[in-house]
Amino acid sequence: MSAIASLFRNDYGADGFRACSVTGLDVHRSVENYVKLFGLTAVIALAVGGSFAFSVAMTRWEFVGLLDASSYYTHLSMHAWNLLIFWMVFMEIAVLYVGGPMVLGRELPLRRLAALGWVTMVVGAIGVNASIWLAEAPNEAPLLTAYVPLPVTPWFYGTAIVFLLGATIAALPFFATIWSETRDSDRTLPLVAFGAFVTGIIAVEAILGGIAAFAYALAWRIDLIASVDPGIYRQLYWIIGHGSQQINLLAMITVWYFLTHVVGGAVVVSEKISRTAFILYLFFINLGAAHHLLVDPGMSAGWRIWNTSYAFYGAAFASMIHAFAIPAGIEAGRRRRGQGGGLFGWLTSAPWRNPVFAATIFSIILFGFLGGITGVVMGQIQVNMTWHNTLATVGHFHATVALGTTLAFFGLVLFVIKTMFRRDFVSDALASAIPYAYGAAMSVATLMLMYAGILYGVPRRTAEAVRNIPGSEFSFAAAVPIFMIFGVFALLAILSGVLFVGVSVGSLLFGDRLPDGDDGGMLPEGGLHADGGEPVHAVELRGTFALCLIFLGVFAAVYVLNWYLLTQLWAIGA
Amino acid sequence: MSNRTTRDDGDVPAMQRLYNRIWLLAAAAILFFLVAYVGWGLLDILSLPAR
Repeated sequence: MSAIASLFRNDYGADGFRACSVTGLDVHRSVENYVKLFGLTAVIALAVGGSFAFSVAMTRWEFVGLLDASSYYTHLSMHAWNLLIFWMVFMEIAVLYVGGPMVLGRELPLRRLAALGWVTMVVGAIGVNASIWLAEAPNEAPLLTAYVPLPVTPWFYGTAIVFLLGATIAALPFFATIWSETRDSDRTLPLVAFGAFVTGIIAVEAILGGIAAFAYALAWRIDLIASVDPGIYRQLYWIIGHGSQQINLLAMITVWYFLTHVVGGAVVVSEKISRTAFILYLFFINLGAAHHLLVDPGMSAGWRIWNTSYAFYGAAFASMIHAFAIPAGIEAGRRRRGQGGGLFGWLTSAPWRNPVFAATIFSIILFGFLGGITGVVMGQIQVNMTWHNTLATVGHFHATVALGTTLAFFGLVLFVIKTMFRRDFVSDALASAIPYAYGAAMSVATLMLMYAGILYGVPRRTAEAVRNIPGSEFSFAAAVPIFMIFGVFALLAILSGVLFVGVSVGSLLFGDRLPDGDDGGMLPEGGLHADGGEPVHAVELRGTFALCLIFLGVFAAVYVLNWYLLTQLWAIGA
Repeated sequence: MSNRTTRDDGDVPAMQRLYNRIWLLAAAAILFFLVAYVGWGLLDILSLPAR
């Protein structure tokens, strides 16, 4: 117990503040402790969800075939809720506290609400886990969708609502901070705080939708109302179902701006451009929820096309702005420090042995190429037909969440271990290996999921992958080699996750305490604000321009390829 | 104890003034979502002829 209590101790001044030796921020004890609390809870959820990754992957890999069909959905639901929701949302509250009071140099207001929010979230998370694990016939484990009239225990809806209410309560101190900062004038928030605020508003939309959907279903399950309109439920459900993942996206990008600056020496090339991209997200990103309803009845073609095409491309455009702005910031920052000759010298000379930097950059690259491109492709109304409810969809969200957001959050947790817990890594070599091992293994596993789905049409959500699909005479035997590769790399990805948890917990318990003023090797060469020669607008960004051309070339190739595959499905009139 | 830097607000560009109205932008975005996704979608579903 004293070991845990010692994690929350640092040397603060009489006013409760201390100067961070890495970021230079004035950090108050209250903010730091709650960031630690929510971060630690997130890592526990990661460990729980990650352990179910093993049973899920080893079932889909029929060479092992670990679970029978009746257990599979339970394990899949535990995997999904703990990783897609609890690991992410606990981390996101920590991100809000970093992006709000910490960046703004304030105390955390409404601390009792923050504590109440944490307790409520924990109670909700335990309740959801219990309701999934203890589900008995006729009730089903709900996965994420819990579509009505699928019989799901009312405890699930109730505890899911408790968790969402908890997240809302926990976010209130962040909004109170922003309100205090902006109420007297049109003050310009720092970019990271601005990104965190947009993340918070996206979360408000998502949570309200989730509460509406789950409350509607709960009222039906406890017989307050006789029936539920499945169309209305689905439409409301996807506000949280997809919106929760958009919170991940916004939090991840906010973390990208923060960490590339602190550990990579990046600058903001254009405040106007970056903030415009956040505003585009604010208005358009949650409309992407509609792409889950592209093949469902009830919605007009106009609604589908508007929400997934015309409007949603505002969000896709925003993503491409960030995809340029963040590498450009790194290139400009490093060239100004004299650390970048040639086209990519600024990148090759970067601190790749720093796991925080490597995790952040791999998150950017892998999210962009694997998650972002596939997201736009599968959100397109015609091409969606080749992806819908196949493993390709599972590949897409593993690319966005398991690669993009999780890698970024890995970097943030490792950063917090050094800067807030003030602990050295128990092993620098193992810590440095985390982003490489996890990024590589999860990338291959994710690509195999995409191949199995898009090339072979292997369905998702079933315990059986290539044999004995109930009610089907299709043969997916040709996909067996894909699953052999998937299984091996899924195992490696899980082991990499174990490595992350092991290094994180080991560092907290056994890592040497960093002396005051020690930056723990986190700062880029020349320090956080190295004296740059040229002004930003005079720095050539040809490396970033080349990277963007490569990205757009891959984007176009994948888009055309998917249209080609669609044309191969059937011949009209044949 | 604030980490923010102060600046002269005498000549703030229009875009910056707009982007600084964060609560207005948030309200507008939520309203837009309620109309474009929720309201229009519910209208579509509720307009389906009863069988």
